[in-house]
Amino acid sequence: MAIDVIHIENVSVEFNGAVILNDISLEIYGNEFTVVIGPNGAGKTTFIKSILGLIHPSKGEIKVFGHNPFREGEYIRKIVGYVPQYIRISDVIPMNVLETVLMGILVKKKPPRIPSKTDIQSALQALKVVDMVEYRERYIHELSGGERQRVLIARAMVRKPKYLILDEPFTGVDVKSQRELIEFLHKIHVENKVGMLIVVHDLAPIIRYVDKILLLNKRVVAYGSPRDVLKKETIKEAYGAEVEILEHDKICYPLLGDVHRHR
Amino acid sequence: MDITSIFMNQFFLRALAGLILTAIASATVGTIIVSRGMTFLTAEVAHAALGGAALGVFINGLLGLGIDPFFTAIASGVVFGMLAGYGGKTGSPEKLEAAIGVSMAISMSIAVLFLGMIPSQDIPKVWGYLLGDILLLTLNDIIILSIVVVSTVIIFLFFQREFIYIAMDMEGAEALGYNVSFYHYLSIFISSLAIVVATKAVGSIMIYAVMIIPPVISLMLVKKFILASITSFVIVLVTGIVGLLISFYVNVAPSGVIGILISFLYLLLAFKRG
Ligand SMILES: Nc1ncnc2c1ncn2[C@@H]1O[C@H](COP(=O)(O)OP(=O)(O)OP(=O)(O)O)[C@@H](O)[C@H]1O
Ligand SMILES: [Mg+2]
Repeated sequence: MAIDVIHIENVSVEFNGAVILNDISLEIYGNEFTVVIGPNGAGKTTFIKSILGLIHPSKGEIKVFGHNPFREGEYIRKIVGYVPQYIRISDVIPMNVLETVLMGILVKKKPPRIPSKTDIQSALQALKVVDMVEYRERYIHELSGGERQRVLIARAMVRKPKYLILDEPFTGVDVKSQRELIEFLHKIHVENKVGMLIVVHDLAPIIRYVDKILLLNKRVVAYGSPRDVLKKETIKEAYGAEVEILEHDKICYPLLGDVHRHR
Repeated sequence: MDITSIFMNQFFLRALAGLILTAIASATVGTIIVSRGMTFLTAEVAHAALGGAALGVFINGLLGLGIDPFFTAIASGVVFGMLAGYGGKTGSPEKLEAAIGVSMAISMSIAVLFLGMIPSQDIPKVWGYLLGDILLLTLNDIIILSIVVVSTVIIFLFFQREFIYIAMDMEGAEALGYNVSFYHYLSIFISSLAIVVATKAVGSIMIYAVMIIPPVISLMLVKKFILASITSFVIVLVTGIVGLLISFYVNVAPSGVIGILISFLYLLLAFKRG
């Protein structure tokens, strides 16, 4: 088993007897740009949370770069940055951008977690990657969806992880900001050599940076290069026969309406 | 009565001490509670304290013991607070609200039950938790109040960051590796403690005005958590002293006056802001 992979073997997840993920086996390469797609309720978030050790599979084994996500949770969280899907950022509490990013690094300190000069430097450095340094004093709830995602990416990046997992980072983000976010993620991938695992609904804007696509619907429907995965049959298999498909340059895209629910 | 003799009056001095302690409780846990969106916890814990006090008096009568009902009030407030906290541990405000509602129903029922079972001459011992007896605080009460409030402040200052983090973004904090359920229960624990002691001073009817409205006003006025905390302290203290003085000149219950003053301040501000 190579050390640079996320190794997933026969993993099943059940909630109250319902099978959410069924016998998943695959290897995700730590240096690749991987995208996960699949219909609502396909288990994409569940899949990610299992990798992070936030959910306990009922069966199977997961090794993240050679480490067990449960027994070595602290280590996993250090080397894997994570931007969750539903972030309910409260607008009651005033918290500025710099503080939000510091949250990512102060976790390794003991309370009362006073940030040192180096901590602040690291936070500013992470903000620089997403071009948000000038926003450091701004309040997080006053930012646009795209700006907020950039801050959350900075927070996930502040401990310099070697891998980054993002769960639908483009929800509530306009098209232009989405394009910017994708460029930042690509830059982080190339310049900082950070592997990426991103759940998306709309593949088109990101497709040119993607190494592998995982098409998930409770099980692995297809996993491989975009050309191998994005075929009419596989898409219909995952999304159902009614799904509209757009074919462009021999690659098929599922055409999905606004599939995002808000919780 | 002239003003100097009021300030020398021992009832006034003890009330002032109770007021300062209540102001500190409002500034610390009040701010946490408001930012977590769990304002009904105050009402819930306050009523649990009332029930706890009634239970204490009942047990004393039954077994011929001399337990201070303040202690059974504290225990009951904390237990019911934690119970609500358990239901709302996922951080979902809707679930927390539902859990608080259920615990409140249980604690209210217990309060009513035991109030009906204790002899009528003992009822006034419990009454204070409903209407507040800031002018009747004993030295013993002040000591217990101080111990609780000082411990609360220490925990608040030490874990302030974590409390802010779970209030702002519980899921994100958990994903980053913070022990969110520990901080969740810790915040509920100190909140419950502080609510009970504040209930002793101002009563469960007024607790909402004193614990919740000042932090709400403060968070409207200032943007920093710690500044909001200080502002709440000042609001409770100033309206409290004014309320006490008024109650010395006019024969009215101080906690009623304080509640009206604070509510008036809020309405004034809300009105000004449109
Ligand atoms: N904690 C939980 N308890 C019970 N069921 C759950 C839980 N979390 C998820 N589920 C169920 O598991 C299924 C998969 O959920 P999951 O969130 O992983 O899907 P998803 O692919 O991320 O969907 P979406 O595109 O809407 O984000 C859903 O049917 C959901 O209702
Ligand atoms: Mg999801």
